Amino acid sequence: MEFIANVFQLILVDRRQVVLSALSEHVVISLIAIALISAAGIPLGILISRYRKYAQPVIYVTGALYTIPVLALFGLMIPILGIGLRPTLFALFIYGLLPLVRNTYVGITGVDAAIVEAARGMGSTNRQLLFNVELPLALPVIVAGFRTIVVMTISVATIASYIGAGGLGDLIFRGINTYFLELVVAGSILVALLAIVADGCLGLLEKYLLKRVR
Amino acid sequence: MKITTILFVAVFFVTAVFFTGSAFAEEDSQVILTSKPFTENYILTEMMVQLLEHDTDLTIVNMAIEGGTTSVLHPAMVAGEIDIYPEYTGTGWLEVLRYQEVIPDPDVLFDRVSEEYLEKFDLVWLPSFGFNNTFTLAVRQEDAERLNLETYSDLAAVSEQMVFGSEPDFYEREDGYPGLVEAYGFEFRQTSQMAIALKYPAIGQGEVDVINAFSTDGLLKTHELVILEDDKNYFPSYLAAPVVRKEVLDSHPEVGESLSKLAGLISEEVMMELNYQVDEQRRDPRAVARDFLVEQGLIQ
Repeated sequence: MEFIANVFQLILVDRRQVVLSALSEHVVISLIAIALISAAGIPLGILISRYRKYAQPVIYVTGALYTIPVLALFGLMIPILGIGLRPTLFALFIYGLLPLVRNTYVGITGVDAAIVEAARGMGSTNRQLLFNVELPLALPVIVAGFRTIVVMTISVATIASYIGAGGLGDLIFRGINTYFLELVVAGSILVALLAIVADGCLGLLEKYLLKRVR
Repeated sequence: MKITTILFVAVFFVTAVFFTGSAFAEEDSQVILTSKPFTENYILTEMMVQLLEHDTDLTIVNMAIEGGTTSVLHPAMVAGEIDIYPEYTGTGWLEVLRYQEVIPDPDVLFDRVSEEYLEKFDLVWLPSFGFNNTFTLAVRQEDAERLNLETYSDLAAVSEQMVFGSEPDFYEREDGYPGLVEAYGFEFRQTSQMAIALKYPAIGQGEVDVINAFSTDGLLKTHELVILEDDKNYFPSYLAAPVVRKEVLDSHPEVGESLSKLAGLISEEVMMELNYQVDEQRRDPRAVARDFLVEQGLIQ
């Protein structure tokens, strides 16, 4: 009990300044990474649902990238991209790509063939078919993929501090390196909270979007 | 239509971020410091950061690189991604310059390392903080008194009664256990491997009798240990000093002037005390550094 009290004392009072800046860095890194992943992942998923012979190779490659251990990735990238924000974003981008590309693709190709047929029969153009029929119906699956990458990015961003991009990982690594267990726990709790809160908000957004679609 | 809008916003956001990102990177009056990821280095870097903030008008950034071993930081210095960090002469000599011969005289080693760094990498070693954080051997104070131990050679004479404990790495290193045994003829009754953090509790509780340590470890004090003298100069010396990119010193001479105030200011005992405040008393390295600078009259 005293231990937990110490942890909160640390977060709220003793190291408040450090905690706040680490938290805001963490949020910024995650937001940028999520924006990058979405900007590339959703279009890529749509693209391979149009040109299906590329679907398997693209999913295979993003899947292969997903399996590289993140520390190894940093180690490999330091000579090329150096340290700081750039290599961190690159790593997070590579990690987040698979779930979003795959879910977008699966969502669109999973739309009932009869519905697609009907839309075509009523004279939809390709564009109308995509934006008015397929994407709205695929939305729940795409949002599920999005929620996965948000939670994942927030947790993987912890390792950003390993190569100098800051974030809550700073607290965790510092704690480990200075024999300060409370600091490790404080950092971990905040990462977990951040992920839970983000996921909760997206859950609400998902409900709202689903209502709109129906 | 809504989805195209969302896509446009996303693309716009990303582009904007990249532009602001590169704008930050170009700033010329910014000096970036970092530290190797352990207590002593955190404190030293905090001192330099606070001193530079006080003495200069430059924007001082303390970038935490928690994977920042020499193999990461040195290339980043050469590439100009960071400007200043505290390094140790022995590490520069063995790991960066990759020499194998040992230079016993700490000052000679300092001169050789700083000459070669300047020549090969355009990096400057400012005068040392004043302490040598080398590997050393530590025993319990009561044993040292009972057996009259002052040097490694004294220890070698009674080593068959003692159990030696160390982290796995030390048994493998070039400058570690095998060479040590060869140099002094130790015949420990038993050797034992454990994680670094467990070494101090282990010797405190009598499970082992001798451990390897760093001479400025704050925890030496907690567990009432004494360090012995390396009378045959087996371990290389590790004088700590700020390493700075020459370009930074040339364009901002005030950086060198400011940091030189720290030269010779920190003895081994002082550094051990500061490490102790962080590792044992759990103070923030930032506050420990600040108190030290105020005490020395370098900042208000």
